[in-house]
Amino acid sequence: MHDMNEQKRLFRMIQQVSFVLYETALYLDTHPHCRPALAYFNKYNARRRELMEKYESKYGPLTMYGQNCSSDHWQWVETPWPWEYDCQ
Amino acid sequence: MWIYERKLQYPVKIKNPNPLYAKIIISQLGGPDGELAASTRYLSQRFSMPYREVSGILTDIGTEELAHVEMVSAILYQLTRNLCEEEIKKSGFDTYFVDHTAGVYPIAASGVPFDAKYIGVKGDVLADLNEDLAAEQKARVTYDNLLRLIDDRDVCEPLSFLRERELVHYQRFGDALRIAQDRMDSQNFYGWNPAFDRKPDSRK
Amino acid sequence: MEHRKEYTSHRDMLDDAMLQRILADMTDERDDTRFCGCMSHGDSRYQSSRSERTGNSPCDKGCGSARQAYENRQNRGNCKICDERQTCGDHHPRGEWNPAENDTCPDKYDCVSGHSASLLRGYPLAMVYSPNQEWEGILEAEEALDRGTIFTGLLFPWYPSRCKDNGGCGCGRN
Repeated sequence: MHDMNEQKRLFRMIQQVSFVLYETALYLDTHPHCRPALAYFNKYNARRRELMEKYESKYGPLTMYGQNCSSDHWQWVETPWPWEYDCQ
Repeated sequence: MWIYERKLQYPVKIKNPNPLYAKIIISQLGGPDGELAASTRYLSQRFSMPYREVSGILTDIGTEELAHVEMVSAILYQLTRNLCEEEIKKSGFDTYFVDHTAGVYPIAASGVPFDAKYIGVKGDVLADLNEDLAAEQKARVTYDNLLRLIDDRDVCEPLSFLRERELVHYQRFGDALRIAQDRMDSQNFYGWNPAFDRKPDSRK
Repeated sequence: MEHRKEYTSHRDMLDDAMLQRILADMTDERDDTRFCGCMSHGDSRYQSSRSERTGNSPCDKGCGSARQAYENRQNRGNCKICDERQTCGDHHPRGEWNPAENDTCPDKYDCVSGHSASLLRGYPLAMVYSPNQEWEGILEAEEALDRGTIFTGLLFPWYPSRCKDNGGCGCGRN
């Protein structure tokens, strides 16, 4: 139970950080020289990498490339898909 | 190419299925101003843009709209779970159900399937960007109309999120238009099409 | 009267507070970066031919865009063309005058001679112009996802009125 809360919490943080990154990326597409936006993007990009590593090592891949290749099964098809009600 | 991330951009968790809501929300999937039209439009227009910032914003917003296709589809999927025949008949969902059961099919609330006629790809910088500005406003209005008609908070929250995204995209396309204007000849924006013509001789 | 869907949530409370904050931040004064409309200041690559066309001094940020609109705004007392004083009492848009609007607002109204003091005076016709967005009013990540944007300046919540709010369809639309 505690572990499911930890999983939900990490997943939610990944959603939040990924969202602000995407918003910033759209802004940078049309303001490519904006230094505060670039710094903000870099800060949250590093944060996202940390969170992804933490999540994927315990709960499975979030992208196809996030598989742990030393495992003996293809995790990609074993966890809920994001549209399922029981997914976060 | 695209990488798929195993998460929705904004969470969708709808406790109470409701095919009545599904009947109208489906327009944001397969309707004229829906997310599928938006993503197809932007991802198609980006090829003929002569300015990389503009191609960039079209690629990135087009990609985000694919994520919105997924969100709307998730909403529809959760609204049509565990339906009984009585609910299907009473809600009028039967006319969709007969052809698609509880599958998610790109169609409008009117029953008209998704059509490439909903999108414009004119191959002209100004025409395409103005089309995109209008498209975002029309999508926003569609969300406004859905929010009038829907009473379930689990449904309204992701719809409000998607509505806000349309407004942000509108500003972004405004930025893209400004970039194009800065690059074009303000003495005559319409003298030639930078997406196709070579720069005319300065003697002309 | 506005009707709002009543959520009993943190998000609901934030709506009101957010709206008040946005309204409080809105001022009439704008810095010249916004009027230039160029996307990048201090970058000489983004030269506009507008300044050449109007013969006005370029933006002092170095972008080359015309400062005509900004100057109009700063010298808002008189019409730039005929030097006529602009007040609401002397003129009105399209034959309508609202005495309740008792401010001098040359940006809305034409001067007595009918010259427009529009902010976009000098801009080429047959075109729409979009204001440049600055990197400001950035929300925290948690709130940003709930809101749908990181920019407070782009928050425009929806407040539908409902006949239901007036006690069921009778129809009590406001």
